[in-house]
Amino acid sequence: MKHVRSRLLCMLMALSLVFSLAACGGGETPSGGEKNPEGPATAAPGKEGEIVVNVSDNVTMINLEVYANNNSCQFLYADMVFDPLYYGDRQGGNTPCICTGYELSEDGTEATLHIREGVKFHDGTDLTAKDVVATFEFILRNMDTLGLASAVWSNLEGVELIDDTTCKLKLSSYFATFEVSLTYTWILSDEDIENYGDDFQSAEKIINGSGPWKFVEWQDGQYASYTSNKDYWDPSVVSNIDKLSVWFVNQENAKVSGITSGDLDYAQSLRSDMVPMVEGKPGIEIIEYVSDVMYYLQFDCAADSVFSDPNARKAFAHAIDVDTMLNLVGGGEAMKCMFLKSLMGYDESIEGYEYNPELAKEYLAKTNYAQQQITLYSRNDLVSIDDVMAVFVQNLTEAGFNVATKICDSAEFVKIRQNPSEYDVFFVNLGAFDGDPYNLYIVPRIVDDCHNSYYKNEQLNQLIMDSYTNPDAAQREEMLKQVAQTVYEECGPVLAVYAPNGYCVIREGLEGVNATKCAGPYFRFARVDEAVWKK
Amino acid sequence: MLRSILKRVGYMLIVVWVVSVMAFVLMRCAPGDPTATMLPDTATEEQRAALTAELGLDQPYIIQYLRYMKGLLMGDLGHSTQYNQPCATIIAQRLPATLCVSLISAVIVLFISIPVGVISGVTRGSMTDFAMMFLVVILQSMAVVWVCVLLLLVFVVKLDWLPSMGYYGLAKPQYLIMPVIAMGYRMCAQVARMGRSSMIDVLNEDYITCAYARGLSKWEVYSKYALKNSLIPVITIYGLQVAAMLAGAVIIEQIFTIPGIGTMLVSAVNNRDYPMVQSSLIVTAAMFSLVNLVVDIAITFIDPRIKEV
Repeated sequence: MKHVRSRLLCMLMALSLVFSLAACGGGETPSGGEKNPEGPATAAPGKEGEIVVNVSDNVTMINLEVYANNNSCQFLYADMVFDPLYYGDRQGGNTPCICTGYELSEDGTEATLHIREGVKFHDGTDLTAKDVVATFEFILRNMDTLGLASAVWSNLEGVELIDDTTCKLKLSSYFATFEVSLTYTWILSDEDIENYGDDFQSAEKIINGSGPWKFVEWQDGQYASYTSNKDYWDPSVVSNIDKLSVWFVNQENAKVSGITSGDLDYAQSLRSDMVPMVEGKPGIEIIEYVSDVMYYLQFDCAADSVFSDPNARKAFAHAIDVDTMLNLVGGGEAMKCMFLKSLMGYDESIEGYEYNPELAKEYLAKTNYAQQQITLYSRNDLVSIDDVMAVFVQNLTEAGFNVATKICDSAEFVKIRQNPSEYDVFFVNLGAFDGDPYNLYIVPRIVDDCHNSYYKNEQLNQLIMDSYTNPDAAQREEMLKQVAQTVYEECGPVLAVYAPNGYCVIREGLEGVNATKCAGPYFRFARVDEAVWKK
Repeated sequence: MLRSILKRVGYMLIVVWVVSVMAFVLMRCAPGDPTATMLPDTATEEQRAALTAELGLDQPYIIQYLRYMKGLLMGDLGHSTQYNQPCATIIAQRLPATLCVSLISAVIVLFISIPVGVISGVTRGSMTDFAMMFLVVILQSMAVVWVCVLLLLVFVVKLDWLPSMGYYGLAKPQYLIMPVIAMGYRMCAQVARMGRSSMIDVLNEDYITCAYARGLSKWEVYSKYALKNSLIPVITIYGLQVAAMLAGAVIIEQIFTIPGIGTMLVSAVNNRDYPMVQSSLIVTAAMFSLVNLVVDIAITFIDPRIKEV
């Protein structure tokens, strides 16, 4: 009996050992590709003579769908592997890419796109207008589930193939951000859509773009790797980097140790208190900028809310000490105009609301506010949000508000904003992509009132829509300035508070990184100065 | 014995079922749903309604649960809403990293903590005991985040001995060193302390005095009588700790960029990925129960008096 027990125990231990060793073998790569044999730069610099660059992004990639780009990492992937119709630097500059140019009909409801010849997908097949048409048809079929594409192409009604290099879009009306919409339209292969169906990317059967980088592999939770497409149609864009891996690192300490040890060559959005740890290190440059991300308040302006009265909103605006908040978030700029400086419509003549608790009390006294509790909501992923909310409470209490705060996660926050009259006021951030104030900002948030603020101002809405559909840029800008002025005078429904500083760290010799001030970086044009790099 | 094991497996299934119910109920109680993060916040009410219907979230809870359980019984863990892939595929990709780091930690802890506990127990009151327990208390007092940062500063930034991030399994063991230390140091301290106190208790038992009276040497008494009996509580604690490690360690995984199950679970909760959360919890509950079963079986081998597992 004793022998049997001993044998069983031995077997148990052996099984445990086998189990551990099997576990250590690693899983299949999600892309089905080969496991990255190189690893970070310093740990193993790759094959002899190969240029390997490792960069970090704050968020994790969750799938390989080009149009499900809900975070910066997905954008980055689409931007590198696929070609858009127009290339957007995300700061207002749009240049022809797959589409060499377009003509609009007189009423602006038809756009004829001219498609570049000689472009090939990574599998060697030609990219033609047929693929462009298939991509638009894919967008039209999936409008309900494609986040950004459905927002930027809400005016798209249909698409028609003219010939191999031409196609025509039918629009419900002209819209000012047409060119921006072209920058968010990455071309998929008609053949792939036909062969694999609409969710072919999620099934990872094929990643076939035409961009300057070829997809190598995605290690879920770790990194995505790309290699330079040496056959890219525009030789000036072909990178001399052999392998570029984007690591998903959201821990500040990991970023700092990665940069200082040489495992990382670029880190985005370093927290201000971590900057001194990399400052002065040889071969590392720190880039400081005021981000193109605004932190703003939105009020519940329904009839039964205290904030239906502009005086209450002005009391709120004068009560908050933005400079103290900026100190807590690592610096930045207080916003006076509702538009960031990079957005069309920014009006520097707007003076903003100064911090003045006495004036806030005066404004509050003009309202029928009876000390009912006001709940200020925010999201838990914002920088130093606990501290900022504490300042809000202190300032608002001093001005005479009875305020409570609630910090929620993203999913709860979205629900709160969806439900009618669920919030009194919320504080959140919004990136200013593409210098475009319309698609993500004033059209959905003011005209469509997607967050249920119940702010009603038909004149303002009309002004926004008139400007949105006006083809004359100068007139459009003037109209947007009027919008900014009206929102300032009304102090609602949105109140821009500040744009915080951002920091990114880059290794000397790494060039062409588009460190956008509002989202993650873009590496489409990344290359290295070999003389500096090899040192 | 076999009957007892089968009985225990039955209990395991009940535990897993209870966990599945709790995961289902708790996720539905949490504010928000998967559509909140799947669609941009500029999406229209119609778009949200269409997606809600597509995901079957417009059905009564009981129907949703029964559908999930039906799939589960047929071996389908569901389809992740954030990854747009089968949950089983994602878990299969993530589990090896968690298992690898946890099990290597567990094995190393076993070989360090039990000798430390035993030596400390038999040399109670000596300088050796004091030194070991001093170290153990220090280890237990250190927060995991702090230890991770310290490891990075020392081994990566200062000494440049180890890579800062990544996971390649046993193919590149240097990537495992820091995560394994971070995962195991506290457990090591805890098991060592338990080993010491258990050893001291056993050494005070009458049968130990009796063994000495029979003229056995110290080492014979320690190895034949004391060690075996002192291991019972140690193995129980050890088993619970190993089982807890298998559920993943979010902070360690995040800092060392390990694609484990912990970070995946946090991301699934934040995105209200119901199928992913439920499936991960079921898998970890099953692993937890399995480890406990193994521990119980191991205890019966150490102490044959404990027949009922």
